[in-house]
Amino acid sequence: MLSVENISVHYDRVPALIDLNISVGQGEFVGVIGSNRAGKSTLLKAISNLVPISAGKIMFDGQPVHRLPPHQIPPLRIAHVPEGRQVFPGMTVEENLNLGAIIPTAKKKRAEGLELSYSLFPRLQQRRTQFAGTLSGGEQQMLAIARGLMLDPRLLMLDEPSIGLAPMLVKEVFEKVTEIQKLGTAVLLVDQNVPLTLGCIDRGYVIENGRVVIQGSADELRGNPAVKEAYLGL
Amino acid sequence: MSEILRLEKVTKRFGGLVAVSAASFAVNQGEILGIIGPNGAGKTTVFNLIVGLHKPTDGRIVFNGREIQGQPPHKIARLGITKTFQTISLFNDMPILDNVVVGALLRHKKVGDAVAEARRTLAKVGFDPDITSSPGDLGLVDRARLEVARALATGPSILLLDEVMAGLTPTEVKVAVEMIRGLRHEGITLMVVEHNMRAIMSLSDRIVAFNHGAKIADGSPEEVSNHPDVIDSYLGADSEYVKR
Repeated sequence: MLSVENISVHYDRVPALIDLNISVGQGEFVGVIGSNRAGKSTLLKAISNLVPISAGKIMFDGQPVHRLPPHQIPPLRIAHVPEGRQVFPGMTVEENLNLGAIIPTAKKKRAEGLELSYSLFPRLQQRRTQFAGTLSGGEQQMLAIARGLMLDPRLLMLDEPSIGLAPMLVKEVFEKVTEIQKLGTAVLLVDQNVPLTLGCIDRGYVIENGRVVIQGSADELRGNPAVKEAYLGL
Repeated sequence: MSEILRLEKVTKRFGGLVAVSAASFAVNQGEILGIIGPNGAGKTTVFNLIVGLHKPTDGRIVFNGREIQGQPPHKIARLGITKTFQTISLFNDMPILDNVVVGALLRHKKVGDAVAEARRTLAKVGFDPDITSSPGDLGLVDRARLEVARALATGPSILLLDEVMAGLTPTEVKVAVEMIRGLRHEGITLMVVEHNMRAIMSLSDRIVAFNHGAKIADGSPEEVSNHPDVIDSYLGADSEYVKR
């Protein structure tokens, strides 16, 4: 479904991604792990076209999408939950959620989206009329994830969703994302919680210094000595 | 151990929402106190109350025997309490060194002295004091480190760290844990909010847990991680930190 082919991204002249290839199949759960600054967030931003690529191409359903402006990416039903929440602080929780469903296909499913969001995060329902800026950090993270789900995405990209969430909630979020994936949504997940990530994904990539250095099934990655040492803290 | 800070029945309401509810606990000189609790439990609000960013609706905050609740943040910083921001809030248009100089100016009236203090502080948290880049060039780990450096440069006797390890890899967490231990060796008392249980369990001398704005547990890391309310609201029964 998504195929990122030989892309490079530069910030000024500094390379952030170099000749990188990854793919996500229909309904597949794919993880990207790597240390900070490895290029994981840049990869998701490149797919959303928030940063321009200097080489390569990005194909979605066989069509090139890397020249589309960012606002034409969500209508493809590609949702991007950005790192650092980025909710609209002066809008209520529910207004933020409704904005996630701004494209016509999602608008029709708004009620279902809200139901899903509130069942996943009951706290958001309690706070639905509150301004997002008054939520705690972790609650804003919940809102960012739910806003992404409101798009009714075919591909859900999550950038560090576990940051700031309580341990029990992290597990719940990963479980819920897995449920959503099982219903047919493809997921591209970037997260520092590598043990949990490996527990959910079908396949994964390890990125270092802007390049894919290891790839394989969840089991292959789990058994890889370099992954164990650097990311599982074993 | 002698007590340095005490909260007495501190309550904070925002409109109809009770963010902190009659919270009482003490912090001892030189200890590392971990603060845990579910999202929205009131952890950051407690920090904001201590440093004066919020005024308590009710209750007393006593620092070194003196009531400080309701005083503005710059006065409380001068008394010796500062915090880092959960959403890292650097001065992105200023060089890295100047970010730390801002903190150092609290206790150094001459810019030259503040710069010297800032350079020492940068070295303490593992930066090259001659660094010339700006915060925008830094990755997450270094941004967190700089956030700590700026607060540290104010010369606090208590430093409040709000999720400075969020998003770090296990290797990076180990480095951060060592850095925090180093601060304690210098005599700084630390309060640490963190969801990374491995870090909080190994760092903390004592942990206070909150839920719905109220304190639900206070004790050693092992006691708190095995407290039924903490397991119910925060860790989950299958957590590796819960004894079976």
